[in-house]
Amino acid sequence: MGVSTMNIQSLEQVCIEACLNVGIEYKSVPFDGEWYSTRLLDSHKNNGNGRIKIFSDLKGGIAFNWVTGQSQNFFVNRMDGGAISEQDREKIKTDQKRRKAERKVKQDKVAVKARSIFSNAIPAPLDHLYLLNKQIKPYFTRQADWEIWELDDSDEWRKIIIKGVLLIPIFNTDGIIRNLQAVFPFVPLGLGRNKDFLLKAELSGLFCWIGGKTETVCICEGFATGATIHEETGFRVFIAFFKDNLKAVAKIIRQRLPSAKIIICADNDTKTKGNPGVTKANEAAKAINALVAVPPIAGDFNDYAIYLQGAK
Amino acid sequence: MNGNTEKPVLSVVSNAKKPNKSNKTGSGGGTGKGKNKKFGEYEIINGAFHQIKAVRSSTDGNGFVEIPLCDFTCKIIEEVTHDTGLDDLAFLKVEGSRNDGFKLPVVEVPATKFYSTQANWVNEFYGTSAFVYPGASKRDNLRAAIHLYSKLEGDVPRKQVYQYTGWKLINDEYHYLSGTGAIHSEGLTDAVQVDLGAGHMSRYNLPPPPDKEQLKALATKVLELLEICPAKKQICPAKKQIGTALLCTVARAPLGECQPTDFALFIHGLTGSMKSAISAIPLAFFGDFNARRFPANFSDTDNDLEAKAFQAKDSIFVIDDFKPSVSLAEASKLYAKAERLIRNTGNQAGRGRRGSDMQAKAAPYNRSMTIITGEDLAKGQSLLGRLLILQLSRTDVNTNILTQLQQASDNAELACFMSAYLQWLAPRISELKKQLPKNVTSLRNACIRDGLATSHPRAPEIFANMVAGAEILIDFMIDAELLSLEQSNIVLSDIETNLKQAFSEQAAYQVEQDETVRFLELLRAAFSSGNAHIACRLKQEPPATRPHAWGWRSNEVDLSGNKIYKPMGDCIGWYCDKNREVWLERNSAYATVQRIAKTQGDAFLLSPASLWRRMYEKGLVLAVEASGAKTPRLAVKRVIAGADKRVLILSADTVESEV
Repeated sequence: MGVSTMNIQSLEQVCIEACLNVGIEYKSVPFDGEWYSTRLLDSHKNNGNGRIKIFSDLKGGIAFNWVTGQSQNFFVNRMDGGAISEQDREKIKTDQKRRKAERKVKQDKVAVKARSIFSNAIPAPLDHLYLLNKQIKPYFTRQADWEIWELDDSDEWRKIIIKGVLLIPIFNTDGIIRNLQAVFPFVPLGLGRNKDFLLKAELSGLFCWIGGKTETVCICEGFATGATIHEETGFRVFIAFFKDNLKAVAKIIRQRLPSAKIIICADNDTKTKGNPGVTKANEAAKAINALVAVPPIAGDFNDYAIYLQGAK
Repeated sequence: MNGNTEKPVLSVVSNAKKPNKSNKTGSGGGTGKGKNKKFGEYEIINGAFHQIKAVRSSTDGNGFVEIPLCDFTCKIIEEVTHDTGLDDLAFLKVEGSRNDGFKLPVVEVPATKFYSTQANWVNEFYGTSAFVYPGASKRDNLRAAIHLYSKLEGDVPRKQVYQYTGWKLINDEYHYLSGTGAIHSEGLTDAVQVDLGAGHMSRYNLPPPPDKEQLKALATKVLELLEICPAKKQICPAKKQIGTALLCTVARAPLGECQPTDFALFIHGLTGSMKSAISAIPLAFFGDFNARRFPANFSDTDNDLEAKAFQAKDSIFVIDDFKPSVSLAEASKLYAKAERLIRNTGNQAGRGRRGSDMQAKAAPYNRSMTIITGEDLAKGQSLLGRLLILQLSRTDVNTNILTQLQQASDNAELACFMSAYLQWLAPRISELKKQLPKNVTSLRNACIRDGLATSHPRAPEIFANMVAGAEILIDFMIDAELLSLEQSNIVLSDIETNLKQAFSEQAAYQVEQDETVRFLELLRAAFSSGNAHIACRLKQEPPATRPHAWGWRSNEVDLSGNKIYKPMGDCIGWYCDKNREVWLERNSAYATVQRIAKTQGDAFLLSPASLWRRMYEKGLVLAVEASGAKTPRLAVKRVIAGADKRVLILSADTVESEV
């Protein structure tokens, strides 16, 4: 099947429109159905919090904003291209399977790398800057150096080595490490964030947990939040690492613990339009008939605990 | 106390709730009742503002409590700044609705009241329709909630409203403000908002300038009607100067921006002399006025008069009906009011005030070209010096022409003509600000040199201002091809001639108000009424000649048939036969004069020292004593009945007979 110039142009137009709608900067990406990072419209830093994916059939794609959680699917005018033929549909399915298989191979490779990094790292010290700042214990975390590849302002890749990074293992339902979250002791200059995951690693539906078995379990976004909730409540806490993963993790936990009382501990993102932390927590809770707890101040439960410490 | 209170995180987690169907956490959706809208620390719940406060433990288990602030929602729809000419007053236009759907109308709340921590404006403006929960904190939070809510869709629109007429520099271009908007070089624009308040002040409205053809028709009417055809159609055939003066006020009024108008026109005459009717004609050039619709009258309060005269900047402002009557007290108040207004005009300064914080407040003063009508004149020579007084009798006004003028004013034709004049002036105001004062000075100097308008030192200035105004109006008419150069010379010459006539009459008013003349008149009245007398300086007997004229009376004769004279009232001086002089005992004389003035229902208020000084300046004092100081001593020593006394020496002829 040939690809017409007209189709690419209109695809580009709808992609630009979708990017504007979710607040990310449009950039030209390959039509291979993979995610590509881009910067946010309101950020001068190239922190890659925007994502663009264009389907390999050139019929559409997805624009996604990591900060707000907004996503928009876009499609070229199907009337122009006519109905999708059976042949095209088959091809799409085949492509999807192929890409999934390719991705699985890549993710397996990264998972091996994750296990290797984690096993070679030393246990995190009690006085790790992040742990001190968050007033939490290290639990199972480890410490190692971390390398990241980052696009600079001239869109050139550069390698950055960050020393003394706190490593948090991320498991699949079988309890195998598939990814690592690296928490930096400080925000590296020009990076604009203090956390990272392994590049091209699996993430959706993965989690880690703190604490032994309890009747009531909590699910939250971040490690420090989870540690605080566990320390304050004694409940086992599952950590989903990012808000869009709450629902997927919640479903897994409900599947494994059908009679448990599950509490989704939301981040209270009042300073972000639409409060995505509470919105996603509500969605996850609705999906598995769980409860939602929201910290009374802006921020997460770790922020709340530290706020209370200050108030005392 | 349970364990949860010691572990707030546990407390919050343990009190986790089922997810809400309505998203209370505030994505900003929804505005109506039943849909909650959160902004900052506030939220609209069931159609009313609530404060959302984070607490350690709360009834809803969510860590928040909802504190109702009031039973309504409202919004600032516009921020209006009123430019009064003295200061800027900010108002907020607020509208809202109660939680039961009752509409709270648009009100203009002074910004100071809105932002005040007391914030009592809600019940002040909405009465019992709106309810605010008690507590200073709630009121302050309500203010913050309304402020935040109003800014949700961006900044509140702002608007400037002018509260006066006249020229205003807006965007580097002069605009003449009137109730309908502003006239500038391009015509009338309604982009500028003017609010002159309630009452007849709101009648200062100017229509758009006419086109060239219409203007020609109007100008012909104005010229014909006012004073340019004196033989046939002048408004006051017997007194050409009245029509001329009225036309000059029309021409001069809009030039107040270039040179302040520090004089006024005073038209006085008997009731029925149509003072009000002819005063309404120049006023009609500036808006929808007639003889029953004046912007002010003398029953207005002092402050109101002052404020309105300040508002009517660069316009004609008529104050009708100066008629001191009813009682002495009321008459005194009216004289005082007239004096305050006229002095305010002459000095271009208002009555200074202090605020409650003892800070000086800008004082309003008369910025208009004022015309006063009345049946009596204001008192005081210096006061009259600030006026051009025109007297009107019942036969002076040509009623046919007056009717035509009134029709023209009813049809807004005069106002149309003024609009055209203002449009022409707009691009020239900057230049006229430099040129007009020079023209006035030059005309004034010429006037002094030629001995014209000598009634009062201010008279040449007033004359010069009126002629300078007329010159500019004639320039406009030449530019607009309404007058030829030849015609313009004739018109200007007529104006000058007629104005000279008007100013020659001012001298009579000045003499009437001369305190030294009045003192002598009252002195004569004291002698003739038997309230005082003057005795011969040697024997304290009646003066040898005409003793009756010096306060002596005779009802009997002696054995030889000579009349026996008896003194009447107090002795207020002595008569010197030799030089025919009167030696006044100053204190007695002044007291007697004051007493006589009082019996007339009046007062003689000039201080003795000023009175003697003025008499000396007029050459009435015959002898003075040199002193160390430059000014001589007016009271000189004389021997009276063997004793030295200090007396004021006047000519017996001056005291005895009027000049």
